[in-house]
Amino acid sequence: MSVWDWSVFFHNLVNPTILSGLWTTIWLTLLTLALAIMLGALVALVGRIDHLLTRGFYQGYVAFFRATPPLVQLVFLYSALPQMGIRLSVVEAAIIGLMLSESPYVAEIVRSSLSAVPVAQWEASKAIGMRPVTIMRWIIFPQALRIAVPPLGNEFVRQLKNTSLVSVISMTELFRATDNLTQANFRVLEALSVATIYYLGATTIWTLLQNAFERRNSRWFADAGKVETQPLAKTAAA
Amino acid sequence: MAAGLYNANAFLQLRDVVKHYGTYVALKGVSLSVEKGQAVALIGPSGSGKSTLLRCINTLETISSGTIKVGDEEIGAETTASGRRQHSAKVLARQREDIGMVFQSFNLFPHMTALENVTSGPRLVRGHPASAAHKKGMELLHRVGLGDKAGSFPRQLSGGQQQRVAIARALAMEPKIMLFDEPTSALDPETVQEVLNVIREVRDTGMTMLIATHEMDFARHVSDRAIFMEAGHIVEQGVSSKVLFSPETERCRRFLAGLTGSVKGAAFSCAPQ
Ligand SMILES: Nc1ncnc2c1ncn2[C@@H]1O[C@H](COP(=O)(O)OP(=O)(O)O)[C@@H](O)[C@H]1O
Ligand SMILES: [Mg+2]
Repeated sequence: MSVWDWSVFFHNLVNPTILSGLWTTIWLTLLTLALAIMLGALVALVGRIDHLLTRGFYQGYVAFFRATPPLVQLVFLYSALPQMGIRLSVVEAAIIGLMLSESPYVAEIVRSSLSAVPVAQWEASKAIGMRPVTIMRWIIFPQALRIAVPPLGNEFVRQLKNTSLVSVISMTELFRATDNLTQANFRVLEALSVATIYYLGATTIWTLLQNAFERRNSRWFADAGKVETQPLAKTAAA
Repeated sequence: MAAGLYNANAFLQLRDVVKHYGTYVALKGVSLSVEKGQAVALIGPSGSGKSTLLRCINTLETISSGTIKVGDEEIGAETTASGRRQHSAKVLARQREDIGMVFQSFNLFPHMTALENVTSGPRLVRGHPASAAHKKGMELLHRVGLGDKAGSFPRQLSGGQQQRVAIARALAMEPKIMLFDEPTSALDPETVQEVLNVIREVRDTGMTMLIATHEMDFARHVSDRAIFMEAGHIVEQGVSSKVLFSPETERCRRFLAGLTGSVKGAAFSCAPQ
């Protein structure tokens, strides 16, 4: 057996099992990230309510789901829940598990992005006569979104990698498809190289999209690292 | 104190307004009135409560006791026989529509162009159609001398230009009264004048206004009345020519002397913070 076989490599590149695994990885990443963003945003909004219970819920939620490994959460959903009479399919367990394990990170990003928008923006909006919901939707949210995009982009990458964990509960995504192939021909190097290239490719395309979004908003958004061109707040509020 | 200045016909009326921040008392029973069309200058050292007073008037702060009235309407709360009841967020929002506010640090919406900033009130509060709001917004931008900057974002504008957009944004709601909180204190000296000119033009339209400022020359030119505050109290109030040129109280005299002494010669110069 030679060290590296190009023909195996190129075969793997277009192997239907691997391509379908790639597709599963992509939709699973996008779907569970979207769900995690909705769930995380909801948790963050609840956490913003100034009450002992809501703040406690937020702290507890984030602590719990961050402290337990995503792999354990997945296996718990798929293998431990049936003992309690709750039977999830592989796909259900994968989607719910990846959503839950990602949600605390999103919640933290949403929370800090919302509070990174200066209080003065609320005040200026109120002074015009805007109602809280209008202020949130049209003034705070767009600014918070721009702040949240770079860290949320990182979460895409994390989530893409985490999808490989669902192979353990036998969902055939990119990694498991690759692994299956090596069981047949024992060419692990060529198979894993292909998987690596696809993971890298997906991350790269995502980064390009993210950069485009950031550029589109760069006319108004001053990066934290850049020096303000305007003397915005020369005087500390007297 | 200030007997006889309470005026039942006034447009803006404050009566015994007290504001606590925790245990700190920022306003210690302030009473004043502003008649329709009057421009009133609010002067006093840093920390005397000028910003707090203006913020209480448009209910960005909740007062601890006292009453504030604009026209016949009580602002921020309802005083009934059984006590004060805070207005709902919805009522507060409606009341603020009539009270324009210009902040020291402009506080434009950074993700909106100058024109979008100006039309934000009519569109998002009043629900006016884009075309109508746009037309009126352009008129206002021309009025503050920024017709050519409609498409610029705040960070592409100088401080003076940003403040003029902020004034246009407040005017777009057609407020009944305008509050200015040291509108030129955050500006470079060379852009102070352009903002003061705009405020003077607004004043010439007959707008009722209350201006916290350290620009004494400006205050002398533009205001009908002046109020001198110190440590949460109104120490002296009356016609500008009196309060700003020959005040009755020693404290006001000393305050004015301190300002002119430190910034002699500079027209409309900023007071040191
Ligand atoms: N949010 C706040 N919390 C506590 N103290 C405050 C707050 N805002 C203002 N103060 C205090 O109230 C006093 C009056 O402040 P301010 O109205 O800003 O004065 P001015 O505008 O005349 O400089 C100051 O001593 C200030 O420290
Ligand atoms: Mg102030």
